[in-house]
Amino acid sequence: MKKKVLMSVCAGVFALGLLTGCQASGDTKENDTQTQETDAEKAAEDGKDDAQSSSDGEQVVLTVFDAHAYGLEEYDEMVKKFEEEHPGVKIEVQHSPNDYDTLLLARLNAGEVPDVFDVESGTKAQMYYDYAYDWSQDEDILALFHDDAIDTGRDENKNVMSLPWTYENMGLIYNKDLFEQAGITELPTTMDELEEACKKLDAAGITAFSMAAKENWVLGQLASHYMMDKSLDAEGVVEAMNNGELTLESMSNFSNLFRLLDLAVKYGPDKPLEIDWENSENMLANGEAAIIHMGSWCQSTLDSFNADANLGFLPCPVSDDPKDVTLLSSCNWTYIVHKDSPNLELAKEYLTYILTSDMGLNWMCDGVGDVPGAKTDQEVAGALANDAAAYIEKGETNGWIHTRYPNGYNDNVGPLLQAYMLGDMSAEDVITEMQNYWVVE
Amino acid sequence: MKGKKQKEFLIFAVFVFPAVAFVLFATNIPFVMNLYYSVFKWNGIGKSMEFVGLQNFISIFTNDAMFWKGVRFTLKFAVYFVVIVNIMALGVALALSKEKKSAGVGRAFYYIPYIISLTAISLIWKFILGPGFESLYQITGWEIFKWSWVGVPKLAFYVVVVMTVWQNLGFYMVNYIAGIMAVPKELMEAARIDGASRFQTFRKVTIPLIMPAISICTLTSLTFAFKLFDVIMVFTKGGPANSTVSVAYNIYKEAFTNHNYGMATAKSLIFVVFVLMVTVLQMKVTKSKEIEA
Repeated sequence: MKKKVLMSVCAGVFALGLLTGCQASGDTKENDTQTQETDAEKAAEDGKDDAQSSSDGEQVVLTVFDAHAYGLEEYDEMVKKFEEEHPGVKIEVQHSPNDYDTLLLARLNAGEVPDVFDVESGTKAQMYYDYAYDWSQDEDILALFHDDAIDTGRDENKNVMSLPWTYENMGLIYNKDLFEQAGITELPTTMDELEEACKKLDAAGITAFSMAAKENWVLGQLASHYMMDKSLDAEGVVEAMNNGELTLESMSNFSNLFRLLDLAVKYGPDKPLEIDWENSENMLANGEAAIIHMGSWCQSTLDSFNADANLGFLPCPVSDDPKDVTLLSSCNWTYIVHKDSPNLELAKEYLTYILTSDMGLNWMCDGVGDVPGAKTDQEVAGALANDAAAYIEKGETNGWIHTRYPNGYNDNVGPLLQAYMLGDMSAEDVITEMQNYWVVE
Repeated sequence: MKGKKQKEFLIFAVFVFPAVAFVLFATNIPFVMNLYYSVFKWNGIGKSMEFVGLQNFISIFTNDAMFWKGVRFTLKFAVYFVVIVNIMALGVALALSKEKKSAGVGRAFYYIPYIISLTAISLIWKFILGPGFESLYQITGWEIFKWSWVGVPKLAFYVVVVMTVWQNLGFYMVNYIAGIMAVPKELMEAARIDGASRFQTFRKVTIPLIMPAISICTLTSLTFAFKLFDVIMVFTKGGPANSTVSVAYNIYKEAFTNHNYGMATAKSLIFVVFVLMVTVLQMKVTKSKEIEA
């Protein structure tokens, strides 16, 4: 009997231990945030310049969530410099190039909102604006950016809820050497010319397309070229789609998407639906295929596959009119500062630093190789970005439609376009289904 | 008498409490929260939720072809997977249940895929189906190596089945070996002396005695098949043309890509009820066949 009592007491103590264990860790956490808050108040009172004063106190930790991992070396240097200039401040960066959305969602719902984080601009970003600091009053900071870049971070009420990263350009990318080999001297600008070019490439024994048809997102992006109406631009097209004035059936160029897919299958690799983004870029860079659909973001991967590849943008032919060719350009990553952050002023300063300081501009221009959303004269390293710059200057580019798609649209239309490529669905059925998926709440 | 009972209950409660607490926090409370979210329209991020009652459930039944496509795929997969993996595992277990050194090596070989990480397995299969099959085609000239295994819906289904069977065979094999080893030798001997053939002893003695192993293996393989997610997520991504979207993957996409969090929780509830029904039924059937030696 005694034994039993002893054991039950032991078990009881153990169980209590578990509970108190939880309790204790909870407590310390609360203490942590409290100290952070007091630090923040202090920092806010002292103003930006006196941030050093917190050095004698506890360290201020700024949590940063970066949804991509480009130019990491330059990024680390930048963080180090910022920490040097702000003694007592520790920047904790998490880079999450895969599945950032899921991870960010989990952190937000766990109450661990990062002080600074970035998301895709457009439909995605709108959902996160509940957490975002409103920059509209910080005019001196907004003046550092291009106006159209700032526009990618506005909410429904036209308030600036996030700040732009770099301009990304998206279109067909072609291998200049292969085009030369096939004797193509002028870039195709109409669907007929594109087919002609494919035939020439084929005759020269070159695979014309290696479209990454395994990836839903690539197909979804490709489709957006054929929705573009230059008189409306991206925002106008999406608005017209949303209020029902425009349908996919009524778009004059949309059926040409299927003509392009036909070409991609006919003049593509043997197993078209097995090509993922990596295969696609690899084949282009190493001269195994002449044309893919991608954007300037893939510069660094292309370089890693073959740094000497001679590549350039081929504005996407969408109709019989050479003036319709599309190269889509937008700031597709946008940075949010958490409005309830205990270190709001510091978070704002950090974000301004990585987007507009010399270190930050160096990160974007040199490390990533893209044109920053902030104004700068610094030269940009990426060949594709420079290639696109010529079109941007002439005003021949348009905005991005696919980031303004309804939620999850890429994942719904990608499989439909795959079904068309397999011959399982007709173009008419695909268009009807795609229209059905365009649901706005 | 009454005091003793109370005391016993107290002791029982004290011992069980820690486990119950863990299960509550890890499973049951989230489950109840799931119930709560399923009647809302919520994108999973924003701070506002809109109460919609049973609207989520209604639209799943009336207007969600993709979910039902996923259900069909998952059911078909479950049938293929449960049958193939159990028959093969039992066969392998029979061959390797002898206490020889070679049997130990064989067991290790079958078990290895089960402990490799899924990402590595995906890479292995990507290689086999890509460059591997390509060079096999060049050597043999057989059309079968030229097919686009991951690029055609019908073939992709079999790739998923083969991959999962290959990976999980070792786990079920170990279960069966444990069951077979526990069959008393004297029963086998008695059957042989009575003139039963090898096949007869297997059917009339071994099978009834390893019924507990069979019921546990079919149960775990069934729940595995219903929950199929990781291979799809890492290897096929539901493609080509949505042909390999399992229910779990569809729910994940609904929550994290389409941002219909309420809808996704509603789907998962429907699925829980369905899985519960099937597993209870399965347990009833196999349990009724179990006997004691």
